[in-house]
Amino acid sequence: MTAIAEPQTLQGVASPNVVIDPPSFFRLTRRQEFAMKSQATFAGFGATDNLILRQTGIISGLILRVSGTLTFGGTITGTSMSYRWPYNVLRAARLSANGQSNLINCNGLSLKVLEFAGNTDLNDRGVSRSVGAVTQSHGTLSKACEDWGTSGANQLGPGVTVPATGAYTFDLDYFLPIASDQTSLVGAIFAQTAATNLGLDLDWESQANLVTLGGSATLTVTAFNVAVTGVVYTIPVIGNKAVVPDLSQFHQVTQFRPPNAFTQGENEVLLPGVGAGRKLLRLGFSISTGTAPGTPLAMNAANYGPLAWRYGGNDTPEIYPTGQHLRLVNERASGSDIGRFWGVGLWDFVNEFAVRDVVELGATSDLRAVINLVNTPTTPFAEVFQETLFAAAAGS
Amino acid sequence: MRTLTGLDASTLYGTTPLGASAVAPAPTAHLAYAREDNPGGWRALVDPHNPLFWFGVVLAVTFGAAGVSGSAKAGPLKASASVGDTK
Repeated sequence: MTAIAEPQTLQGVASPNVVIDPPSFFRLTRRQEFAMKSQATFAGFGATDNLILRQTGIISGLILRVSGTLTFGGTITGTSMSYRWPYNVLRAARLSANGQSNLINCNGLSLKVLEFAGNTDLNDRGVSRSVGAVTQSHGTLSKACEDWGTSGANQLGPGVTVPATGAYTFDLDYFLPIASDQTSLVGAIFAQTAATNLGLDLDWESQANLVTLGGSATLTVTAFNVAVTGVVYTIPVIGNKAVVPDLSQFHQVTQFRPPNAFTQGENEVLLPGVGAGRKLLRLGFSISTGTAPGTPLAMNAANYGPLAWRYGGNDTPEIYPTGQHLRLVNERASGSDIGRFWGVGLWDFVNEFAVRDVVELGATSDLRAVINLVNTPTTPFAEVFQETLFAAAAGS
Repeated sequence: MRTLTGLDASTLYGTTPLGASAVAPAPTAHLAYAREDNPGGWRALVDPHNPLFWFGVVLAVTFGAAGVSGSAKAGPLKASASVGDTK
């Protein structure tokens, strides 16, 4: 499409002398990646860091690096990491821009799942990580350059009993997808304005949810560093007019815990945020059970019966007979066995052919995920995330 | 090999196309009456060029005017008029 439009506003922000011309923009723009924010100490477990980011150009994504050292002391016996470690140490990343709050509002694990789903060149095979009592080499969603916690030969990981006292360094990487895809930049943010703020709130999980300390064990956190790198595209100017790509959409990733009391059999989770003009790109969920903060229920036939999404009275376009079927489909699409340890099930409507497969939320009233459980879990809770596109506030 | 065309939300995701319809409201936006639906205001309603005006006249004569009558008296002169059934 070579559409050229000259809107007075972009994403709700006044912007005179702007022309929407994607081909010209892609020819003339320059990609920039630079540090937008860095801080040497975080707010603390259970607290929130509020970061104001630089406003320049068109922002398509944020790379978040979280690193530091966990030092265990005292008598280590009885100390273990929960399944919130490592990725859900980022309990929630919340991004607000151009008057839209919570364009991204989800936890670290959901960001990892979406990163693998959206970038099939990524691969976690051959990356050794400790999960439970075993070293695993696929399905961890870890990159080789990440570190889940290392002290000499000892490793931390989800469900791992901390083997010894010592200083464990960790280094985690997240990608916040502001644009729905990094080529067309659909959903990217027009940030070349002083009209509004670009805010990123980072909620950190509580220490009690991350680690169970043995009776006389101690934990200190040092050098917990947060660094945000922006992926930004410059705005070319031709004949006194700024040239931009298609910014008619906002891209949103939101997560919630449904109020359902999950029991054996079919459980329908009603999805919020349905409306005309919205497109559902991906829908994912996981269920954790057991003593808080819980252990993910592996995505397999032993745990899950038929899994589907449904709308209206009883329209059910896609239904997988068991959790194992959905897990197979997910690995085929994302290149990672996301249901193995993390228990995530994902409906991916953009992986093959988005314009054909995305769900128009204006035509699917009462949209819901149908989760059939083989057994009633112990103290279950679900985490559901949705990736959507919706029309920007005004103009395009 | 990538091309420079088709890199927009309409082509990639089937959203409302750019250009003339980029500011088109959502399908549900026109279910409510808005001032711009009648840009002439009340004056347009009483304009003889408006078919609704004549429809209103016929309606008034048929129903609304039934029973309307009046008379005026000035000295020995008396004038009266009535429309419809005034008995």
